[in-house]
Amino acid sequence: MNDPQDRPIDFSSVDPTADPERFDRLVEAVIAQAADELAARRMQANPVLQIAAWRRPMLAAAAVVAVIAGTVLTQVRVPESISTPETDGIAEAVGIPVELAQWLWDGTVPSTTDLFGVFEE
Amino acid sequence: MSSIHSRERPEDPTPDATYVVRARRGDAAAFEALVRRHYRAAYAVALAQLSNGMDAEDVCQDAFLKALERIEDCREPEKFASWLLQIVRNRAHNYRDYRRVRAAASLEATWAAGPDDSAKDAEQADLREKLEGALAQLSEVQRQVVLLHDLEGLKHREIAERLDISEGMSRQHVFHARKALRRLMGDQALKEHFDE
Repeated sequence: MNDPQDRPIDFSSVDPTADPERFDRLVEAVIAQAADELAARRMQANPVLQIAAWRRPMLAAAAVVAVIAGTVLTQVRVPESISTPETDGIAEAVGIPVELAQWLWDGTVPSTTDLFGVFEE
Repeated sequence: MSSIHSRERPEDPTPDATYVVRARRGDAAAFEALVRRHYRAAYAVALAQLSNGMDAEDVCQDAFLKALERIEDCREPEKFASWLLQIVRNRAHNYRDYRRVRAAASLEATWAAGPDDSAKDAEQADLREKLEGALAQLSEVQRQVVLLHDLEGLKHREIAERLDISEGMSRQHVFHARKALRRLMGDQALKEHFDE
């Protein structure tokens, strides 16, 4: 064990931890640089924070949807009766009597006599 | 064998894996614990590649930030140290290529902030310069091994694991590196300092 090569080299002059205060500053510099990344990770890991982060864009999107829906609803007129010559033609083409189709479109309940009348035709 | 580094080793039984999991969730204290625990090993590897203490500190800072950004890639958190040192090696390699465009802001202030006017500090700075110069004469692997062994205090088994070499090779590198450093620096300078 007398071989000088058994003794470690003293690297204290290049040891970054030799001066505790200076080492603290080095570590603090790393942590300060990492602050944004750490904050982003905390947010990802916490669903409440994530929802909170989405609150503003979600509210903005909902407002846009409400405006568009309102505009569309005020401009579109719902027809009084869906029955048109075209729909009557379709009913005939698929073999449904025109009167029956008309009742369906209007939502009216035919009487038994009316039903017999239609099927007799 | 006397240990010159045992004095700075705080006992923290928490395994790296625990800190890694917590750091992934953005726990600043866990990340800080990892930085404190592995800074010197990272510095040793960076210094071995760059032969300049300030450059090595810049690379360490950069490597720790990169490690945090990519911490999901650390598949075996219990082997965080080996994974980190690989990042340090890569960053130091890149840094060496772009050394001339180093930003002046970085850590210059950290050095300047410390008291640097006393005779002892001047002596330390002189010794540091000589040591860095002598280290530059060694091969890269010799520098890495001797710094990890004598500065960080790793065992040959740990060095072998982290640098992917055999334990026998680690011993040989330490032996030859010490011999060369003593020859280059003059044994007296190192011995006097060591005996303090």
